[in-house]
Amino acid sequence: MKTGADPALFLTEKTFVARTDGVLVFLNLRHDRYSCLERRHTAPVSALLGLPAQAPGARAAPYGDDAGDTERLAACVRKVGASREGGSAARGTDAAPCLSMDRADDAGARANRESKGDELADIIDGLIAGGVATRDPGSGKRAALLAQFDELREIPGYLPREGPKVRAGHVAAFFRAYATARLLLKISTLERIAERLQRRRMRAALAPAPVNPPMKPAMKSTMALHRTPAMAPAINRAMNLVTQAQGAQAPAPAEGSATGPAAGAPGAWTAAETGGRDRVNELVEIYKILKPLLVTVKDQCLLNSLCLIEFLACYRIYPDWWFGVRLNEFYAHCWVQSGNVIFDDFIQNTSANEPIMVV
Amino acid sequence: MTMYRYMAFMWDAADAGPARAAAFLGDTLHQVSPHRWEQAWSGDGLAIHHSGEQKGRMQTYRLKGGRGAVLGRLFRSDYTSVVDDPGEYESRRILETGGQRLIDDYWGRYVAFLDDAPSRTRYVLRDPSGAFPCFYTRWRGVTIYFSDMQDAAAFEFLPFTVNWDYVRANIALPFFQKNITGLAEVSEVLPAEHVEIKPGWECRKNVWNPAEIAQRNVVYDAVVAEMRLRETIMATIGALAGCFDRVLINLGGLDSSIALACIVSRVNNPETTCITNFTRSLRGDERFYTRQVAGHFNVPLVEFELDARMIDLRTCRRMNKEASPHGVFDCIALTGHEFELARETSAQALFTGAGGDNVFFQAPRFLGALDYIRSHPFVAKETFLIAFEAARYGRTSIWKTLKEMARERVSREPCYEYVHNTLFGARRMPLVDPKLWSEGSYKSFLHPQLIPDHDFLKGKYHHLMGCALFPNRCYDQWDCDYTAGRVHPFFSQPIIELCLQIPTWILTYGGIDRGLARRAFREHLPHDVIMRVSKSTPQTFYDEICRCNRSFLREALLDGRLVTEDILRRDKLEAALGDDDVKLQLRSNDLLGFAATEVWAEEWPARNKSAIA
Repeated sequence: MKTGADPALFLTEKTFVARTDGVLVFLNLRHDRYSCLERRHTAPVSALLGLPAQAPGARAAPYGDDAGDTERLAACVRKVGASREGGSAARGTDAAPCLSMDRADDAGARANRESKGDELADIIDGLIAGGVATRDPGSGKRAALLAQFDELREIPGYLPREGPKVRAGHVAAFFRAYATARLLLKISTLERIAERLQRRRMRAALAPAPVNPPMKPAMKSTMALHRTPAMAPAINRAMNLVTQAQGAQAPAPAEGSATGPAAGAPGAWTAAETGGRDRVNELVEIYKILKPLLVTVKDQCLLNSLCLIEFLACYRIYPDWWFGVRLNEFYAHCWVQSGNVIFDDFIQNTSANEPIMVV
Repeated sequence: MTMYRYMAFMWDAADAGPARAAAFLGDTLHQVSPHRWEQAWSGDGLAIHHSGEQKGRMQTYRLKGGRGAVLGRLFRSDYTSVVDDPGEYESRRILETGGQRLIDDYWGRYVAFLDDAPSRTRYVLRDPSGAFPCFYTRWRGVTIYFSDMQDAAAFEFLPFTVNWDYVRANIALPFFQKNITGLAEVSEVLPAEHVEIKPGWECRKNVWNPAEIAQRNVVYDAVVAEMRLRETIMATIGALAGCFDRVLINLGGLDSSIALACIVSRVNNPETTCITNFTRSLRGDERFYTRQVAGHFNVPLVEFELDARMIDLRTCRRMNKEASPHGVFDCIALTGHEFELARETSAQALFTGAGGDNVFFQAPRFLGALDYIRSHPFVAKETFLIAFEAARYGRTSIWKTLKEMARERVSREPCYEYVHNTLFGARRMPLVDPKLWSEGSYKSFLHPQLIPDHDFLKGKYHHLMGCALFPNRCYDQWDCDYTAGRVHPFFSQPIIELCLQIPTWILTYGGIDRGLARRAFREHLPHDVIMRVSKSTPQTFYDEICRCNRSFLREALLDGRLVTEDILRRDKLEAALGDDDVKLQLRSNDLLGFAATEVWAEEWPARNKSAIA
């Protein structure tokens, strides 16, 4: 039931939102599709979604003409759902950085011919029809902008040729992870993959952490999930890990600052989960050593990051999978991060993207 | 305090006309220039004037027996500083070898004017680092050599017109040393160039060949390379820092941290203050690392937030005159905070880490592997390891790397074209008129030592292009008072020579960017800094500058000379400079660079007009 504090619009359960360069971008995980609004529609729709006002200094006034925006977006349009080879975060695209993109407010273009008062209504209808938004708080969720940490780090590496020893088990785990990632990207949707990762993480959160975890893939774990009343709070905590990651309510950022989940908060990385920071460093380094066997980085961030996630899962390590977007040559990117530590990318790359979703 | 500068007049002593012209120039110099000039050296047909000399820093070394002068800063090959004038023996040897002795047994930043009066032969020589300029122009039979274009431009009767070939070449081949300047009437004694001058005759040759150096005494052992790299860098940077009592260092990533380590570990090190610039965006914020480094060495650190609202691009119309447009807009220097801090701390030099990426070989792709396979068997364990490391470094697959290595063995592309494509193949410049690219290669405008044999090692050529003969500013374009001279220690001859002698696959040891340098300094720096492979970028700062100065950019570029000369496309400029911030930010670096070039190009016709008036 709507309360006085509820916004007018809610996002559908599997939709996420980011605001970049003054434009709202939506990721509909169910349909595996990105869409965005024109800049002039972003402010009113943001208000309807209950999102905080544009950050100070950002341009809120409408810019550009429809034709300009349309042309730019049209240049990037490609049919979503095409081949998943390569597995770019821009699903269905090839190595080109342009992303499959739809205009979330296609109705907006038609609205030029109608009164202004109807224009916004048409946009809302379009968002609802497109499965992005809903008026029903029961079936939707409050929109929230995901914020990055104030400080980011890259996982520290090793001096040249002083890295960890790569063993046969690591190589086997790597190939298994790669095969799993390729298969998942080929036959499954991003939504299903995300759910799978979340379920696995929940199981891990419930299972007692072994002192010396056996080096076998989590998929083959013999630990069954038995739900008992004693475990209910743990399950709820695990659920919070997921839902908060999906729609983290960032406090209104101070001018020029960004906030994110603090260490120890849901989504952060604890030693209990990982078996120690050194061990994680070691495994990430081993992954980087083995990566040239099969994975390249260029424009294959989906495959690369999912492969790393699967590899680490073999050792019961479950970092977060971050997705971000930017409008400067429309681009979607993903990377692996735990707390404020980036595992497989550089700060200058990840910070160039506005976070939209964390798995 | 003013930075050291010189102006030398050379003429045929037997010709009265040029002699009168030279005397006139010498007298006029004191009237038109704001600096205090003194005569540094004179002989028949050669008069050298200097200003801002500071013994032990930048000075004039007078050779005994009237054999000429060396202007700048000299160090011996054992890194000891040369403060006094060379003795009789050294002076004679320097002249007998035509200056080659300076190249072989000394290093530093210098220009030499040697006079062999009995044979009526003179030599002009510039050191390989090119850190000290040597431009020249001619007027009424007098060749005027000078270090700072601002001084030559003060002679209003000297005409200077824009050389549009240079402007085009600098867009096509940015950063690298050209054999022409941006002004038609101004030429340059190139780095490592030796000019022999007799009456009515002139001969030029290169006296330092980086390609030859790269193939001589190659250091194949990684352990030895690591040790020599550390020793050479510490000795070189220590020697450079020893000239000063107080220095600033612009602290950022690995390279500047190494420079700081070398400065503070020197006995009798100068008082050092660090400054680090940061943006609000995480992309341009490395304070986590700079604080560690400053804390590690217990030196004060000043943190400066780059705020685009401080930048009014209109001030670039007041920048110092230069012989060539740089093509890269140094917006950070435009804030002026570094000069302010230099004044506050009475710093005598601003050290930077510039050049570290170049000498330590931070090159794209797997060029190291291509070099390796040229002299090693294909089927070998070490080859596979090198390929693996190169694949990791180049962020590509081992299979692609092996394929390229095989092709390099069997059917390789010519070196220049391959490296050129690596450097510029992916570059997109939609603002530039396509006619510029169709006018052919601009290769002929490069320094002759930068054009390789077809068969030269590709990685080593890429390396050489980036570190040898690399043009750096001596005088700051914004600092009219020349408060603190910039010192780029990595562009010093000993460091360049050693790094050229280290194979590229060893420089990227372990498949890590600048791997060998990291190993060499692992005991000197915090682990986080040693292992950090990311780089910060002030991109968001530049994007914001463009946004805040859109009207200036429109005014400067839309109907500017770059458009009328068919170098830039007006329609594309209009689209980029419209109200769409995203389109603007896509091209912000290009727009700023073009604006700098446009402003530079505008000032010459304006100057000539006022001179005629």
